[in-house]
Amino acid sequence: MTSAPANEEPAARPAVQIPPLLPVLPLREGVIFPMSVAPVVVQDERAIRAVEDAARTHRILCTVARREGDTSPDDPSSLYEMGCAAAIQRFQREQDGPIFIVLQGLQRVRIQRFAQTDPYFIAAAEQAPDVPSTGVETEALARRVRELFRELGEIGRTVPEEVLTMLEGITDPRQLLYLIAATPFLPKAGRQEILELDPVLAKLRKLNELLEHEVSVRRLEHEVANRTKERLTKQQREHILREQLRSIRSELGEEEGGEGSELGELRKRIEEAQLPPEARREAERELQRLEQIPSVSPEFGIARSYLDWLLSLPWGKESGGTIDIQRARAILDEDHYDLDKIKERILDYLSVRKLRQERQAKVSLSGSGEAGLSASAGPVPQTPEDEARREPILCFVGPPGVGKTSLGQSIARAMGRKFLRISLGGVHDEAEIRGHRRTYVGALPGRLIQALRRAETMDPVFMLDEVDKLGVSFQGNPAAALLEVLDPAQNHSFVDTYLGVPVDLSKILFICTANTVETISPPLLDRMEVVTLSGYTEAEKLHIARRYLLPKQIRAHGLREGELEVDDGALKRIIGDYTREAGVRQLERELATVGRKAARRIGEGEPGPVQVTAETLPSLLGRPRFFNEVAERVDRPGVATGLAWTPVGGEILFVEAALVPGQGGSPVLTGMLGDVMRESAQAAVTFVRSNAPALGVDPEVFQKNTVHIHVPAGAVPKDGPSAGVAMLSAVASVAGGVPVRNDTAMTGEITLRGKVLPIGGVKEKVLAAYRARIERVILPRRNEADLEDVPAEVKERIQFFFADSAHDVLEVAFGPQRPQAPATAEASPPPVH
Amino acid sequence: MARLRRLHIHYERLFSEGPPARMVAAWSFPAILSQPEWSPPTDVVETAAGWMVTLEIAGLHEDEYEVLLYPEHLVVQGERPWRQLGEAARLHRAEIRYGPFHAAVRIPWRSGSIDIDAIEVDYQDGLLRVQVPKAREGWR
Repeated sequence: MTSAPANEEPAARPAVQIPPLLPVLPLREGVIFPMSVAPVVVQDERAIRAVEDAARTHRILCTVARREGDTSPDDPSSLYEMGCAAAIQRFQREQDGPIFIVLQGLQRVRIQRFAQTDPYFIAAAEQAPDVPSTGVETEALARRVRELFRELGEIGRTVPEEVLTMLEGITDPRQLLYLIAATPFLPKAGRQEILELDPVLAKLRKLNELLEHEVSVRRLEHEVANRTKERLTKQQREHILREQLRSIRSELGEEEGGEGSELGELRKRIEEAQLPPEARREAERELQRLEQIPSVSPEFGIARSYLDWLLSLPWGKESGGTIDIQRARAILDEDHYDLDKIKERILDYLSVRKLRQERQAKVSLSGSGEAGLSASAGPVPQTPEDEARREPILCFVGPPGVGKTSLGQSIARAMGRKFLRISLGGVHDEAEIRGHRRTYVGALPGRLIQALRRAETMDPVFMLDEVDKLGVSFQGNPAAALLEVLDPAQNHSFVDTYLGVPVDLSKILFICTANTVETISPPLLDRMEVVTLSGYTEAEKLHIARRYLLPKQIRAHGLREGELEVDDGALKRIIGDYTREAGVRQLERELATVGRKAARRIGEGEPGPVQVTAETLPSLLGRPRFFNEVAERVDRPGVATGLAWTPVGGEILFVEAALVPGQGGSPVLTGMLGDVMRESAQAAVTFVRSNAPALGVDPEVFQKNTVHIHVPAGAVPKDGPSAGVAMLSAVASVAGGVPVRNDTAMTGEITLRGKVLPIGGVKEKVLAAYRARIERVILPRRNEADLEDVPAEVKERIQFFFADSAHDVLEVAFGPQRPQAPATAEASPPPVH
Repeated sequence: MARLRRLHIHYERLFSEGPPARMVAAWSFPAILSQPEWSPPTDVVETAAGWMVTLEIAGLHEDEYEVLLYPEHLVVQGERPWRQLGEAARLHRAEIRYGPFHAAVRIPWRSGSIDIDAIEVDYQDGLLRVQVPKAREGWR
């Protein structure tokens, strides 16, 4: 390759000679154009050999693009026919790895045939120079292509600045064409097409088309991306602005409605409430959660109301001051007449509490150094837990209307505490006590926590009313839940299911009320100290009516002092003939009626105070509802008066016995008698039969007749052994044909051998007898001591007889008319009083 | 002794030459070169006395290059011949350019501003030096 003699062709440029046979370098990606410089990595074994051989010799290759698709590299048909001869400018080999070469495109070549296919293709190629174009269209297209390319660069910012600068300097349309076509923006097929087209104009048209397409796609892509970005940034912006607004508001301390300030308020309340650490943690956690929930979510309401509950409890607030025993006594006396035993108990309780409170304070004041000393000196040796453990739970048991609830109120008043009543009657769901799980819709804390919120202090007096009427259902046993509440060892950390944090209930004074202890579950009863209120006597009721009820009714009906005068006779008559109860509730109602009538008379313009006497009473209250039925009913043989105990006080009870002619069989027992009472009746019958002669009864009677015992009222279920003596008397009476004295009532269990066993509820029973105007009462000997409880006025009016055996009973029951046994009966026991 | 070889003076302008587009970066973006020839590294120095153009181009025989002076341009071109390797040879690296080379340097001169007769071309130790002295005022 020597240049032509310079003298002949002075301006001729030295040219690269392209040999007719060229090793082929198949291109996996892209197309090499004339004038373009492109780096190529050669990895394929065959290609490496081709490149090596070319580099060793004339350093010119034939680069040909491969057709798309699954074709074998050995197959010549996998290559396009139009390629580009290229010179190897640089060559570098990494050991036995791939070869890096930089190729410079020289000239288009059309492969005629393959001179060799192994170990690599050698093509016989014919040079195919471009057909140059000039003219307006070429110029216009070149301009347009340049513009499009610049646009492409601007959209994606993918074209380096240098390339754009370089583009400016290129004027030759062909050069421009190939530069742009060599950039990696165009599809391979498109590039090959450009290479194959002969006239430059056609190439430019194709390039223009491809670029237009590319630009529009890119622009769309870019737009979509931009839009997405825009939307995202908009959201972020809003979020940031909102955050800023919030912080500005909090800086300014502005509370301007909306959820933000609501949360702020909650936070403030958390700060202010004297929450114990555990509750505080819980509250803060919940608040954090709340901040993340959108306010429209139902969760928000749940979390909010939970926090509301938690914060509205009176954490750390106590109202209890020192207890003044004198004042407490005054208050109790003021509110309640009599009930001496109960008042004593309450005052004892308050005194203990007072002492403990004071001495406890002293111990803590004397400091740790003297703590041991003062403890050994022994005013209050207990630790606080001990103290809590000793706190008794009072339980008032008694008939309705005897003042259990009002006693509780008085205690609260005497202690200077809040008083709250929680009615447990009919509660059958454990959740009522312990609260619902927060997951339930409309979940609430238990009644205790609710009451505590109402109390607004941690040391109120809670009256748990009607503990005997707690129900049990599939929803759990509320009594069991109450155990925890009432156990002083546990209730300093009572966990309500709703709140989920321990609440100290140990400072609360619990007072329970019940009508009977029978239905209170034994473990619950075990935790309580039962104080029995057993009803009032006539005289007590008179006092109560005079001192509390009447003034109360006068006030309640808008009457003035002195406008209604009720004399003692009238009150006594109301108590005796219009009411028959252990308490005073009915009495109060009757007095209310009197008050109403009086108010009406005054309203109608009647002058002067309304005078009510025993005689004028029926004109106000109608005819008497109760009268002495004993005398009426116990008027023939076979009826005896028994005494019964009921949850609402004592009752008198008639036992009827009759002889039914026929073969004597086992006795017929009717009147809803329970098993114990039936057996008791059978024992009575058996006793009379077996001791017939001794009792002055003809034994024949039982062989010819069947005994029927009935206890009215037939609709009321009855049970218990205490009617035994009454049944005995009734059977003996009908068998002997002698009536039982109608001024005598009796109670006591009887054995088959005629022993009289003690029974319970003596006071109530005696009071019932008193109300029924009974004059003589037969009691078992061993109940003699119980008479201590009976008010003196009752003892004055009633004669008591104490019986050891059936004989004693019958002696008293029949009096002088008693059927005499053939053998002389032993002396009747002396009457008491 | 200064060797003057193949100096041709042209009085028509060199048109086909735009500023040659250069390879931007061999291994990155495809680039384009207007001509397939290569250009040896060139220094151009102008002094009061004249122009000194130096090309680093080793391995040439005296008949393998020519220096052309056009109005405005000095062109050095030629060919560094590539002597092929034998069958058994294994090439590892090839960075030296062979084949046609072409270097165009712009030297603005008018008739009379340079001393054409005094142009000296000196090729020694791989450096090709072309000295174009400026014409001395009133010398001609």
